Amino acid sequence: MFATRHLFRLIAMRHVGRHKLRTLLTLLGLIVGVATFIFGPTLAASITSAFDAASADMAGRADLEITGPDEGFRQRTLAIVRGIDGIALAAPQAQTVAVLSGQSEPLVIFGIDPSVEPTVRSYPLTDGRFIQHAGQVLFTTAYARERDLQLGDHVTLIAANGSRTFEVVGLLAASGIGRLNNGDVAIMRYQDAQDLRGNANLDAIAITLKPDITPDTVIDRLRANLPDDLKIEAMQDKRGPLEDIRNVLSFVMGFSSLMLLSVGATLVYNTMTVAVAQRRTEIGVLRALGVSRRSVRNLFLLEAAVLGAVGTMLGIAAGYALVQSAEQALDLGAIFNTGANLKVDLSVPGWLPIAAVIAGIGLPMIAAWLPSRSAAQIDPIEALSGVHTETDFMRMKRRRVIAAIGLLAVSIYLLANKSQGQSMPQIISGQLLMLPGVLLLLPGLIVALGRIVPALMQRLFGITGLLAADHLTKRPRRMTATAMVIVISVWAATVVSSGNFGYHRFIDEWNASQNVWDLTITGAGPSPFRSSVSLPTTLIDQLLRRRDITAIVSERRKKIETPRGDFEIRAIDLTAYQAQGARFLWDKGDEAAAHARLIDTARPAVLLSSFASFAQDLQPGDTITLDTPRGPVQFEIAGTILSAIDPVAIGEASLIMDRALYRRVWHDDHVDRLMIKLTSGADAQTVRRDLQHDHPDGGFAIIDPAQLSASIDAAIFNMSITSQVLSLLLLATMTLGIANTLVIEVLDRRREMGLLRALGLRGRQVASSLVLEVTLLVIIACALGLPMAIYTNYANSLGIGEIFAIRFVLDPIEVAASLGLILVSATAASYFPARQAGRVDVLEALHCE
Amino acid sequence: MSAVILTAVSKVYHQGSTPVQALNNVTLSIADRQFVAVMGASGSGKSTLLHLVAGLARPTSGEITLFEQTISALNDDQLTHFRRTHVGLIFQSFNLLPTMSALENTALPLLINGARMRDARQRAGDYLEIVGLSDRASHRPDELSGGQQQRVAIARALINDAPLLLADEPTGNLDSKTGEEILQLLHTLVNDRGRTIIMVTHDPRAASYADRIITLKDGQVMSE
Repeated sequence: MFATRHLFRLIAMRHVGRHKLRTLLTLLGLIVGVATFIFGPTLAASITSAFDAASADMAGRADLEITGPDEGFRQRTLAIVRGIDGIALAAPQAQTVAVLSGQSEPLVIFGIDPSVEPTVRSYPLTDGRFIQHAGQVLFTTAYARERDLQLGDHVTLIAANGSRTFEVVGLLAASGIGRLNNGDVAIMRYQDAQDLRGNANLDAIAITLKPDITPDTVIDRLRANLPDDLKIEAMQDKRGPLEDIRNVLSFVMGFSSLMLLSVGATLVYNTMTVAVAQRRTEIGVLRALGVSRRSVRNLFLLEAAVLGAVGTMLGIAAGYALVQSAEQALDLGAIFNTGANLKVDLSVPGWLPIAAVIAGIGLPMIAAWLPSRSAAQIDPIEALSGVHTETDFMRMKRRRVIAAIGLLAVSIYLLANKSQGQSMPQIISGQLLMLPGVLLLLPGLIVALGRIVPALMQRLFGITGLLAADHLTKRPRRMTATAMVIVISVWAATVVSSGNFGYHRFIDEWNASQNVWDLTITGAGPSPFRSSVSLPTTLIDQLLRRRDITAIVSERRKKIETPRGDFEIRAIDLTAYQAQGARFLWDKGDEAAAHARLIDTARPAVLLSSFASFAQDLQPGDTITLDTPRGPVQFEIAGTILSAIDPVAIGEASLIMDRALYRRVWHDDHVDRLMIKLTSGADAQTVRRDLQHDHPDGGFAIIDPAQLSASIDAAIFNMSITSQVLSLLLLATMTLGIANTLVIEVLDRRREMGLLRALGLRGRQVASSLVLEVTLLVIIACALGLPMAIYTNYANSLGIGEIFAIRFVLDPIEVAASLGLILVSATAASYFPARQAGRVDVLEALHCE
Repeated sequence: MSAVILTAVSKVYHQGSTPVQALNNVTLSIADRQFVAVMGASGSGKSTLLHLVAGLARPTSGEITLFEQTISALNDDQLTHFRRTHVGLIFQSFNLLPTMSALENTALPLLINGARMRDARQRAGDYLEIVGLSDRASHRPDELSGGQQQRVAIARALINDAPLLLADEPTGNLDSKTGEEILQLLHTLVNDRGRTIIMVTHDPRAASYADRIITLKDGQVMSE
């Protein structure tokens, strides 16, 4: 060990210092990998932490919570609950959404009982006092400051049941309940909230228990005394809607960062492999002097560990910087908007840097294992005599090819076998098996191409082509790791571009099919597709009187819970909808028959979104039972549609039904959205101005088709930016890998290049052969990566495509652009090494060992 | 006492699928404190002989004994350790490590043996003085002439007090004057420091410095 330490300091570290460029390129690869390792899981952890914090704030000191259907439950439930033995306090709660007069952003209205509520939840005030009487409201300090509200001001809030005026009596700190909805929350007596909403129901009752009684005991007592449609839960068991998002995000981020770190480790493999080759004689000397094989191996492992350690430290710093930048540059609350508008503070989990250190040092050491072992096996006699038995030649190993074919066969079976139905684990397994299968084939493929490619390259490019192809196909070992990185880059870039293209194509299709209205009027909300308040009835009356409007189609949205999961009902005047040329993006089922079925209100039927169909395993012809004021009603699923009206609403499941049916079953005349067609020659802006003039309090938004399209574009941009950043990181790592390999190649082949120059090859020809070698490598990688990407798209379209409502389609132009970018990057990476190769001093090169 | 004994030693290499008989049933002994030159044409087996004695390769058959230790029976680790303590190697192309100074190259065998850096450097300085290079101790190989590099290699070979020095064409890359200086130094090591030296050479003038000349041809001893 002592000896190894000396050798490391005197030999290995000095080599690292001598070859600064090579070392730097290797370090850069590790830094990128570790930085992503820090950033990715931080993002996932911070999102879920934000939600958990919000949930904890809501829970406060409550032990249990009673909730009910979307429209709430009867107030007399409170009296029943307060009579149950074991309950210390029962705090009622009524929630609704309103907008402040003149504003469009929704306010969450939290209606409470001021006499008991402070015992259950905290309401830290920065100014003023807590609410006591009707007509009083609390805002958060930040909300008040942004809208220039002071204590004592009287404000008008607009909600489904009209507008009401309140006095601002206190300001909340940005903690506890003040964190909800990014601070856009108003606290008032629950009776005031009920008045705003237009019914006397409660939404929840928070319960604290007496000492020495278990939650389960009280839950049993409550169930025995309350209606079945009420949900009674212990606060510790409550799950949030972000559960699935958390799992997906964690998986995607973790997988991506591990992949990038692995790519960084391949750079270490490259570096160590060539270091061993370059230092053969030196290794022979050490062995001759009495250094054991184990010591030689440990020497190189230690070198890899030090490289990993330095790269990790710098990578962690870069990761923290990336986290800081992301927090400032991205609106994460909007990107991961589920209607709750979480305030996301990026915070690196304490365990993550430790994990990064383990991975950042461990992976390079694993990558360096084979070269280190190879160094230990070097025959000292051969090394000292300078005779190098060519071990770089690779052969098509039969076992490797069989293993590759086996993996690919299983992958194809998993993805093509529909008899069991496609499940996410099946789809993911199929894709994961495909990658190693293809990578195992890669070296053998390059060797096999050696039979035809050199002759072909010689015909096309002369001596430079021959040299390029000959070196690549006869001695591909050093290039194999780089080739794998390029294959992964090609695959990832193509899949990402097809995903992004699929989204954009979806927008185009959506614009052509559903964005056909001259104006759309929606209740105020976080986006034109997510309204928080219904439209005032006076608005609708006014519209009906206008002569420049030829058609008005109404839509009502309502959230509903079922044993299968949560849905959102979209009740639309379907006959008028289709009469105006609008149509849904069809997925499954007979479209014409489905439409006829939907308007037959005597036989309830719905259309289901593709997400719900996949998640709930519901197909056309199945039925779904919904709880209605009339009792449970069975609806037949007439067909499924691609539904991503708000693409960020991942997890949202839509049920489309005719509005006449909805009104008959739910007795609900509220309208959330109006889609308007104007007469020929009518001016949309005039209509907009007139409506805004007549309704100065606002409470709704009037949107034209361009604004609607722009809104989706913005939402998709936020989603696609993450995948684009990851692609760019992969591209950067690929470029580094190529540059790293070529720098080493030039150093390693100096003698050969000197010999070629001595034989009469021009410097430019030597440089060109190197560039051609890289180009050939990229072409081979594309030949493998592209079919992989097509196959991955097929797999994604079976599973993810249904969840995210996008079609994974390869656009030739986008694919060509991505591949072109990779080729340009590879060529750029080879520029300086090639230039160096062309300038090799002949005498010096021939003289060097 | 015999320092080196070879008993019916043969070595067969394989070039592809073709066997090459490098040494064929060689039996010889070399006395302690003897300067022996091994001569022969290219391919005669002289370098193979040296490699086998150094423990860098194993005989296909036969037995090799160094200072009463049968090295052909040792495993790789044991052989490596034995070589570290009993054999010093001098190569035709010097084989100094390019990243280390003359002092550090000389100290290397001690460091491999686990010596402290300070002690190793001190001793290396002494041995550089023996070979007349104490003023070049901090220079790297690329800053030394061929003769100077070979002197450093000799100092490195001596520093572990190895009783046996094996030199493979030590003057092959040197001019005649420098070569003679090196040979003179080697001769001194035998006479004044009691080392046993086996030197492979194809140069009769170099061989004339030796006490005994063994000639090989086609893997067999022709004369000694």
